[in-house]
Amino acid sequence: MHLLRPYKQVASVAMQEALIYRWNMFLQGLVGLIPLFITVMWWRAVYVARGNAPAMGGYERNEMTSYFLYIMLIHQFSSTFLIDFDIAWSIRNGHLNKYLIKPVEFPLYRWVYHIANRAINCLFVSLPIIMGILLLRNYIYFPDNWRHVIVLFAMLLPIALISYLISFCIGMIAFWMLEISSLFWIFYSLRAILSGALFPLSLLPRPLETAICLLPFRLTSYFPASLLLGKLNGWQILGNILSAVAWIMVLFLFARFLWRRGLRRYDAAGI
Amino acid sequence: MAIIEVERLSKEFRKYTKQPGLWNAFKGLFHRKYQIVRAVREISLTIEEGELVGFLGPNGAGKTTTLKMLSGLIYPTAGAAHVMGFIPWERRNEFRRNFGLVMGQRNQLWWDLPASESLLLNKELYRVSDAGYERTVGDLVTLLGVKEQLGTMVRELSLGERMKFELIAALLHSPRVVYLDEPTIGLDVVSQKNIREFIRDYNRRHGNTFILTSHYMDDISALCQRVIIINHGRIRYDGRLRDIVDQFCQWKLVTLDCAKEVSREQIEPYAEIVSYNLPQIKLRVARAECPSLCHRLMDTLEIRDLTVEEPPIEEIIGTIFTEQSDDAFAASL
Repeated sequence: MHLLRPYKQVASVAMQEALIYRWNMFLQGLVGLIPLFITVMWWRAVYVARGNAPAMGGYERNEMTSYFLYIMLIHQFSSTFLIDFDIAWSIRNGHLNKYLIKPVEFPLYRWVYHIANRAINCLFVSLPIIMGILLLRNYIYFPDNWRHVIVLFAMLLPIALISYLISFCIGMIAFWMLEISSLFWIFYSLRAILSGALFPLSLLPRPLETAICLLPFRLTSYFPASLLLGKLNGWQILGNILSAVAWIMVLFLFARFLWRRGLRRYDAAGI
Repeated sequence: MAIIEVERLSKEFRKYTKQPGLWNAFKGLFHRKYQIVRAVREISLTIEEGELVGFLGPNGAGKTTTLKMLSGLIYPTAGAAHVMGFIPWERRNEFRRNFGLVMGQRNQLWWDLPASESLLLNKELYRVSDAGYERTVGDLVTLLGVKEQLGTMVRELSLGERMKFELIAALLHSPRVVYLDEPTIGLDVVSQKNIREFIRDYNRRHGNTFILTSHYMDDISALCQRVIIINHGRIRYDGRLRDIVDQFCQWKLVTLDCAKEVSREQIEPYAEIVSYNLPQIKLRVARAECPSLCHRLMDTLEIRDLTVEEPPIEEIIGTIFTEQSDDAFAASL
């Protein structure tokens, strides 16, 4: 506890800062509903066009709608959108200096800060999201197994950590390359596809799906969404949990490696 | 043992050099030319506990690069440094807990929150006890006169007030070694003076070690007995401020207040005229010749008054600053 005490204060500062932008968060939640509605409508049109086809990739019409809703819900907590930009920016303009001189580990500091910020975010977007769910209630498949919901809540933090570690690693490219924002956008698109946020991975040909499932990305979207939809049996859930633990360790070691190597190249610009 | 020991410390950067123009930019895509910039070259120095040392040098001289290495922000290319017995770039927590850095051009406080929140965060990060925190912050805000502003958002503070909170944040954990990089930059004269006096008193009371860089000579002369002048990555001078004059300046400034008109021709054989504004004439006289020349001038001309001055210290340091680097000198041959 003694070791973690400083990070309590970090979380407190992060939450206070987040509260300053409460209206921004609320609006973000509201605006975030627009793409959700579009995706949902688009998929419903696809089902209708195919003569109310029974299932695509194992998903019924309402399950497909719910798939995207759940991913959006989970991302409210686990999304690391713009974290990579932030890390890269901190490296490039020397913003990192103020952390490097303090007895604090920046990657851990940034993680605590991020999670505290997300927690506040969840608070403020909940209202627009509840509105969204009420509007879409007839198209939603609500989870029928409470155990799945418990597993999901238990996995939220690990999922967020995987997402964070990936973003942190991407951001650290800035140690080696100067202007990389276009690269980041490419990564965003790739991550959206590979994680299953764009469409359920089961729509893909089997070999491709299997290949993509070897990567960590699916753990952040495809896994939790299909978990809530009851698509996974007990063994598959366990497999995903173990896979998450293994990927956290791998990504952590990789991030630490990049961090140490990167700091050797860091030029502490700007003082 | 000295608190800061630096031995033959060097830092080289690889810099991408681009010829001007679009065509060269295209060429640069395929074939890049790099230039090695030797920002710091085999610097050695020793600083004892409690010293308040001024780091001087023009922009790009290598003083900030040196400070970055001594803070542990960057790794050196070669050489060794020990600060409080630690190797700075290993960034051990015991090292970081005992040192502070103020970057005048950088904000270390949390922009959208009251200054007190940043201080509280530092308190936890540096593990300052509650009692120690109350005492230190209480003392420092009173000394610097910013008690009222503790609850103000940092972005709403004036530059001077912000700088004072930067100082408080950096001194909160009573660091043994503090680097101040341009702590008075952009401040008005009164705030500059306040901060200067604060630093001097703090150093006297706590006996901690300060390294100060500043472009304001007033800061340096008010605070530092010892200065280290860096140019082109090398130490050009390391010693007492007032000894600079003896070492680098071979001339004095003689001002004549003439009772009768004295023509330029009467003086030119003896000394170089700096300004000629009758009745006042200023001359530049070699140090060694000064006494005899003054004597002769008094004898031959009708002079109401004669004063001999050392040239202003800024000017001497300026001449050191404008020295060519060894490389540039070699290239010009």
